[in-house]
Amino acid sequence: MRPAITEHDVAVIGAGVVGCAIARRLERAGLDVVLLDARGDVGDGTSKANTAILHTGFDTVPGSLESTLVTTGYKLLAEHAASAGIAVEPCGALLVAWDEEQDAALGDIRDKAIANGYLDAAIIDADEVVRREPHLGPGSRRGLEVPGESIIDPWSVSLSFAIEALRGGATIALGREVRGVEAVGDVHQLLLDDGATLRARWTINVGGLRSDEIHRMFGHHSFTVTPRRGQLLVFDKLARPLLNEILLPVPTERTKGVLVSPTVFGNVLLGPTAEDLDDIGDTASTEDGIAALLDAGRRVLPALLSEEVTAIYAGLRAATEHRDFQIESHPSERYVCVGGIRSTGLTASMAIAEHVAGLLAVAGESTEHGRELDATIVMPPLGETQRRPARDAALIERNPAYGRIVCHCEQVSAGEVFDALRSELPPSDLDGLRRRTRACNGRCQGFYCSTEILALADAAGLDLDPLGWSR
Amino acid sequence: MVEVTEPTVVIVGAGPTGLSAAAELRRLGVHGVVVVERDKEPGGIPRFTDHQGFGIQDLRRSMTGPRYATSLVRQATALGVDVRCAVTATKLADGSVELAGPAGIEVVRPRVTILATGARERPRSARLIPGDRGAGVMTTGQLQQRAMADRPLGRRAVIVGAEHVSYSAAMLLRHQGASVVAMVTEQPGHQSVAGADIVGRMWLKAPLMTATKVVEIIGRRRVEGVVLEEMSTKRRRRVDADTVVLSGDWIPDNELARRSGLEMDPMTRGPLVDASGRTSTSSILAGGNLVHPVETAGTCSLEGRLLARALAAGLADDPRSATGVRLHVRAPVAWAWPGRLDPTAVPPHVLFQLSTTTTARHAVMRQGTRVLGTTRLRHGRPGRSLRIPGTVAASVDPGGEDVTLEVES
Ligand SMILES: Cc1cc2nc3c(=O)[nH]c(=O)nc-3n(C[C@H](O)[C@H](O)[C@H](O)COP(=O)(O)OP(=O)(O)OC[C@H]3O[C@@H](n4cnc5c(N)ncnc54)[C@H](O)[C@@H]3O)c2cc1C
Ligand SMILES: Cc1cc2nc3c(=O)[nH]c(=O)nc-3n(C[C@H](O)[C@H](O)[C@H](O)COP(=O)(O)OP(=O)(O)OC[C@H]3O[C@@H](n4cnc5c(N)ncnc54)[C@H](O)[C@@H]3O)c2cc1C
Repeated sequence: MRPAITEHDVAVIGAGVVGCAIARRLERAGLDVVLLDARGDVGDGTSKANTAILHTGFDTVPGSLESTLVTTGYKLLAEHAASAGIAVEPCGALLVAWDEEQDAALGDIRDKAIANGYLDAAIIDADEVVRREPHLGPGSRRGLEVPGESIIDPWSVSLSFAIEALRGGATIALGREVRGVEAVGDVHQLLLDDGATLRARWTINVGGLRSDEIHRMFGHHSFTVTPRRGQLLVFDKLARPLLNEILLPVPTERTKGVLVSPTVFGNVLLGPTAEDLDDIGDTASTEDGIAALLDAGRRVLPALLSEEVTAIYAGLRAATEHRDFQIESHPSERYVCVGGIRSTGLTASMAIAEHVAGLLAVAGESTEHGRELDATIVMPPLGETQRRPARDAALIERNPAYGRIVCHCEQVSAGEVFDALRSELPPSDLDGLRRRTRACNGRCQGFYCSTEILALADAAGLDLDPLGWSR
Repeated sequence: MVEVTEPTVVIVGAGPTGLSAAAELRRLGVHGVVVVERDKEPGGIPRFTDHQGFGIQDLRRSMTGPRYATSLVRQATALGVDVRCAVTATKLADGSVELAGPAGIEVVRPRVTILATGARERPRSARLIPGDRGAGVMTTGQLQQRAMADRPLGRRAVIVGAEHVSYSAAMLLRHQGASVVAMVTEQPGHQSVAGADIVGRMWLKAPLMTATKVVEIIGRRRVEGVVLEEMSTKRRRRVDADTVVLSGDWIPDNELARRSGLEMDPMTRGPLVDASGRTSTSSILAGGNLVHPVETAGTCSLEGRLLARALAAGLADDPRSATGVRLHVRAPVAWAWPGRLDPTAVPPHVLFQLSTTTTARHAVMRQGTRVLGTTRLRHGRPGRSLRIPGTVAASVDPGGEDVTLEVES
């Protein structure tokens, strides 16, 4: 006998940042939504491994769907983050030219920004560049400032969307992979990895790197995803004073270059590389990749290299043979594909969700903003410039657990770890706990604290130890 | 109203250095000695090092790390030291120390603050080891803590490093029934006591692979193996393993020191100090593994006492900053302590370590062209302590040029 069949208005396949945003938006329209992901946590694919920049869209292709959605998404996400207490720092960006070709390209990039509706980009002279960023390596030339570029806590974004969807009544089914699909009369029947089936009137494919594969399950072949890997190095917080804003490369015909950016957690990022692969699971770092990043970093910000690297990771962009997002609506099949969301999906997520709501409306669904949540969601303050619990005397007085620091590098308190472990969307592994609290994300990488933190999880009945339960 | 008495001395870190300094200050009659420790228990690193070999230099008998830690804590508290756990020193500024803990956030204004925050092993990211991100890569410190908490360890381990602490990791793994499939070092030999390689091979069954480095870790969810490269031939091969232990490669826990604006020693990466622990800021002293990564617990403990004696003797006067002549090192000397030499603060010895293996036989200290002292090297291996009698410091010309330490045949 097959397990029971559940029925929903909408099935969203993929709980990355974009899938979570869509689930939240459609749930608010009063639809009964199920959000599925093969992984054990939301935002556990490409959405957890990016450069965490809230883009203005100044350098997108003018007139493209991506341009529109990034520009709108920027505003929507900034508002959402402000109301949900998600860390954003409007630090601005500076494109620095290092040779004649790059210097000559600045004017065109400013014109492109204007074509994208972004009017605040301005060219600044070489002296001013060095004055603003005194730690730049020798040889820098003119620059283009883009004051609107911001940095954001990427992990809390996916989580906040998912939690809001959950509070609105959505079902979140994690660790459930969609293996196939069959049309049964008016509805889609999704076949899951455990043999269960699930019915939905509408299916939204937000499968990221596997969006093409899911697209084919629905009989469509309009694009193929080629994973484009981006390796990144994260430097110690002690490197943070070396820069005042995001330092962007000037893209030319030959190379895209790598950026150096602060993070809202107080670190410095160097990356990403761009390598086309054929394995959607290959998030390894490589000798060549690390060497290339260090070479680039040495030129831009030489002092960076004497600081400690506290993390190395890689994310895979869902690149396709097309230059734009692959968003398609097939109303007669009640199927929407949101694929090929390559390198701006974090920023564009909420605008993509609005766009999808619009596509459903065109097809006759009522997707007006209906329900509002009873209370606005408040995410834990993980940003370095926010008031962290261990620094909040009033909070500690109410609950001393917020004063008991368990992760010393990141100053994470036991209280915050308890909150994450007991939340409505608890972590499924140690990495999930890191994304929710920053615990074990610091320079010691668990030398001091990992065992104690795992013990807290044990006590809460969660097995987060990647090597197994304690004996 | 409750009268608030400011502590005379606040010591940050209840490891061997901090606890020994505190106990000695009390023995010398100093009141108001407070030690703050961010962990919920005092004792520092030895708490997790469950094997013999601690206390020989300072307590004159050998005991296990945890017992040693307990002895130091008992001694300090019996002498009236106020040891406060779960309290983190978060900021030092203008003679004040900000303390954060479950009791709230407090700012104290001691006469002197001693930083004794220790050192840690560098994790995989800092060593830039590429590859997959599967679980099972840890430092020795983590391995020991896991063992103490009865958490599962792997079955087949590769240990990176071949210094004392690496053999300590190998012993622990063997004891837990795991096999050590390789000990890998980029050096031409191990860096532990003579005969460690034989013990390693015969008893620990841990083959030592010298002049070899780990160039990749394989395994997406769990570690499945490593790729090793023989450095001379560039030949690579895969070794199956489920655990990679990254041992040694220490770095001082220097955040507080750096954020306080102390002048740092680029070689030790700890604050620049003289033999009395004085730093570039008059009200802050520093000692232990924070200023020399790393020495034994006993060496740190004795140094803590030394700092305390110098401090107690000078407490009547205004404290002063380190002004001694700079001691620089030339490769392959990795670092030397103390980084400032002052004829009025003669250390028991000048400590130093090498960065690579050398066949040189002597260490020479010079001020300009004048030779201050020459010593035969006890060994030519990195990661292990070497010493020159401290009396050399007495002959330093305080108004003269910088001093250099180098090795020669
Ligand atoms: C190196 C790098 C840097 C970037 N920098 C930025 C930046 O600074 N700013 C920015 O805005 N964007 C950035 N991006 C882009 C951004 O990260 C992505 O566009 C975004 O995360 C895409 O989200 P998603 O939800 O579409 O995909 P994903 O996060 O990949 O989510 C897709 C989910 O679908 C699930 N799934 C797939 N198939 C199935 C199935 N059959 N059944 C069940 N579940 C399935 C997967 O498990 C996965 O969790 C960057 C990307 C990379 C790689
Ligand atoms: C695996 C291993 C094996 C070893 N084996 C031996 C051996 O056999 N024999 C031997 O003699 N030595 C051994 N050692 C070395 C010995 O442990 C160290 O030399 C000794 O612990 C150094 O003492 P310390 O006080 O300088 O630093 P630590 O012991 O590291 O103590 C520093 C303390 O400061 C605290 N701290 C740091 N920052 C703050 C802050 N901001 N606020 C409050 N508290 C803070 C830390 O939590 C820590 O408790 C071994 C070390 C290891 C890792």
